[in-house]
Amino acid sequence: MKISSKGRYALEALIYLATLPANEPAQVKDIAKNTAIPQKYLEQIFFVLRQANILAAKRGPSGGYYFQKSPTTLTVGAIVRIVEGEIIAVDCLQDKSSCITLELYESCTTRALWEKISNIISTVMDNTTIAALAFQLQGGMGL
Amino acid sequence: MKLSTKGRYGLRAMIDLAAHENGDYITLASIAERQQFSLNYLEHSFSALKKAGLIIGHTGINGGYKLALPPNKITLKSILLVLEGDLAIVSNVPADEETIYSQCLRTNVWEKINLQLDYILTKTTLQDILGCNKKNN
Repeated sequence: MKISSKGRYALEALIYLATLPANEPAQVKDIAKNTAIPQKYLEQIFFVLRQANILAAKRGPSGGYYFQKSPTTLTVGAIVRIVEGEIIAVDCLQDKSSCITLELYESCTTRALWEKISNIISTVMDNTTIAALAFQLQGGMGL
Repeated sequence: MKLSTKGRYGLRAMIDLAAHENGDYITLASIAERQQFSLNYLEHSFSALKKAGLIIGHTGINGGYKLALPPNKITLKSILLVLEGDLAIVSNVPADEETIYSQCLRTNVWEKINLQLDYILTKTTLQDILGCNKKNN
């Protein structure tokens, strides 16, 4: 039960972007270099973030990516949901029919536990913004 | 971000084993039937759980499995560690590959989640899960 490198890289790149002067476009190759994320992979992730209107891109020599939404409103949870999907430990929390049978679903002994675990994970992620992480990184107070 | 079927089914099978505990060994076939899992699947998980010392296996006519400890001494963490391997929310990044950005996420997000997951899985035992389900029935 893990967040994949796709989710981690998306967050790391956004934290980096949030430490730059506001609305200064950054080029993928610079972001990749500073965050040690493979550039090709980062391009795929940014494509998704752009489609989700998290980032916007400016063309031209001084072009690059910049925030479409303010990092103060972007939570870790929101980004993880965009690039990784729902934050749930087991599919049946969202879709009953993913259980073997409906009868087993009704008598399940473990679903409440998985729900609790999913809630722990999403609560931490939903209460942490990209801006707060960038602020902390730049020597601000701990979260 | 999902739990594996090994973890999900294996834990249910352990709860089933605890719920039907009567001093005798319980056959895997009966657990598989009640939980509608494939026997093959259970054999694999149970051999790992036996190796870890959480259950005792016995071969022969009245063979099967039983818990090696009382259900209030078996934590969910001990079971899931066997079935899922490591329970951290992200794979460990080697220290020499860490950047200030990945470190920032680790200390402020991943470690916070891991601490809370560890707390709840260490605190909750098979007995707690059995108790909850008895109350509901």
